[in-house]
Amino acid sequence: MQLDVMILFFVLGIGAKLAGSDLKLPKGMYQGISIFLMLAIGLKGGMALAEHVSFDLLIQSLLIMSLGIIFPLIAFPVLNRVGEFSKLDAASLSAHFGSVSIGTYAVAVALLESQNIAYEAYFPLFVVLLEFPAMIIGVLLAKDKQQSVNLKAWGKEIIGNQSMVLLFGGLLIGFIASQQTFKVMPLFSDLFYGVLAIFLLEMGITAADKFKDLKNNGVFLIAFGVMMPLVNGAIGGLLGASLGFSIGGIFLTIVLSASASYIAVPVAMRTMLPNANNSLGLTTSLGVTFPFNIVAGIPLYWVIAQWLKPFF
Amino acid sequence: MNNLKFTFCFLVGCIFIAIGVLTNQLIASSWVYVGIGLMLTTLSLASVKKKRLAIAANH
Repeated sequence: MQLDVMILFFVLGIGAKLAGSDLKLPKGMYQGISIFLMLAIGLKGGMALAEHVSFDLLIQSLLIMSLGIIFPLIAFPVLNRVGEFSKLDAASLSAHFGSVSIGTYAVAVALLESQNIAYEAYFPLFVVLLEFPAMIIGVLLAKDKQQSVNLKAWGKEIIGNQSMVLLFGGLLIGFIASQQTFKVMPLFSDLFYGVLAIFLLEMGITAADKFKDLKNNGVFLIAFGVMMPLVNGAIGGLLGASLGFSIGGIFLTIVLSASASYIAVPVAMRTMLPNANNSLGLTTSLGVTFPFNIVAGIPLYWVIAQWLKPFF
Repeated sequence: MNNLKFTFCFLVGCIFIAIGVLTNQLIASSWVYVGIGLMLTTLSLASVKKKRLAIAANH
């Protein structure tokens, strides 16, 4: 699978920042683009869900959600014991790696669609479901450092989180309106790739900006940020293949597993674990894991998906 | 960098070099894996050398 034209926008963003350019998207535009992408993914998923809703899908959803519990539990001891991060910082970082990156998912979907490769259309449901289990596990891992556990605040943070509202809201609208959703799809479908390209340009600029934050613990965080996607991706790939997904579906399961959150979890962790050094998670997920997945991870995940399919 | 950290970083570096070499014919970006692998092995070895020099200087 060749690198897509959109990835070149990401490379342009990195290159421009490293070359000292003052290129920057207005903050409002970036927020608008994020809202657009999350709604578009949610709507598409909701329409697909209306067609595919079944008991099997419920089982698949529960198993996919379990990944969001397993991944932070793998990451935490590595960060705490090997990386020597405090329990609080390790818990916050683990939560980032248990959740998903909408940007990486969008690039993977765009790649599949540009090459007419079929995949299970209800995958946006899994994106929504994988957003929040890691946040809860992250807080539980850090629990004894907290004064008290405020369940009400947790619930409010998870339900009120912008990503959750937009993804789940879009999913619900697409599911309820079903075929009526086509009325708004010229905006959310036809413009998707162009908007994604601008999003990746901004992500490239932001990722390059985060490189300098890797000075302390840099070597370990780089090693962790590139290794975890491979470990999580392998586990996700095995689950996707054993659930009987198509090659496209296995590929998307690997991509979702391998990605780390840089939108929803950093915002949530700031509220849920205010005493943790939450910039560590954002720096690693956006400065290491996201660029790695976009440039080198996705082509490898495609090879792994093709390799796994015949075994199940 | 302590021994565990060094072992982790060095091992990840070696794994990435191996992935890069093994996927040479399969993916266009296999050189990225080799690059990351070389960077991690070099940086982890350099940090150990730096630590040893610091200890020697203290003595």
